[in-house]
Amino acid sequence: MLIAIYTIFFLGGGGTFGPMNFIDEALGNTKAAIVDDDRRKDATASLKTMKARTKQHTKAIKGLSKEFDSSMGEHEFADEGIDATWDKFFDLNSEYTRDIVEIRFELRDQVTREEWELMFAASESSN
Amino acid sequence: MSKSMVFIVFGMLAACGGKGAVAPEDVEKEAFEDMRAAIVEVVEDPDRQKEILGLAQEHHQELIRLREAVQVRRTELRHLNANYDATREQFHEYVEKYDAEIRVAREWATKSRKAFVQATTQDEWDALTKADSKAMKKMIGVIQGT
Repeated sequence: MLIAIYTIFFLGGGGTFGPMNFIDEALGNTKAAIVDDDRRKDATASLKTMKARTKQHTKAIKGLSKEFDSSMGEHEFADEGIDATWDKFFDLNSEYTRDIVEIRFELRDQVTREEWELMFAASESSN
Repeated sequence: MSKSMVFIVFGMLAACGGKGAVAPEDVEKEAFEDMRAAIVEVVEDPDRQKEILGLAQEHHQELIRLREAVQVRRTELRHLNANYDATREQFHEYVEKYDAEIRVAREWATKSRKAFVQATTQDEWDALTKADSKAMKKMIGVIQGT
């Protein structure tokens, strides 16, 4: 029932720091943005790590939402159970955010300002 | 309760861009209309029916507000990430701000669920749960981008 949708909104990704949907954009731009082969290889590896970490996080959230979904259907389901799900959500989010920010700064250190701007040009112009 | 009510924003963002894609707002509107119809059918007591319809309306409005807020935050994140000079502190500030908003929403969600539970009997709750409409499933499909 729709009662659950508000909470599931977050469990589904609305509350996550990611999904960093611009990772694919940047991956697509690396060839044109970074001429140097070695640095391009490093940057690509970092972006792929970000992507893999995001997928891992999404999978963990999927598991959490399944757990939550079955509980929410119960009329008498206790608030404590819902709170426990939220707490897990915040823990997962916190770990994911920490990891993704670290990888983002590793990536930044691998490329020049000009290369970075070319990689994320679409993000700069987006609303 | 649908088993597939998941991945809302992920799917919303994906679904928004597709050519010929159904707007999530339209599918969502249809799902809430179906829910209102189910409430009218299931809850016979006029006072409680009115109360539950009000809760459903409140829920719908809050979901709309929430989706817009998330889109604003996502745009902020894209700009922040694109800024070569952005600092770790700026990212932490962003995360803290977003986290605080989610915690407020969490309180609202818990309160809202409690209000629904208190306003319905066990039988009504079960009937409303079963009335997981086709529109609702469609909405989830659109949201998930499937």
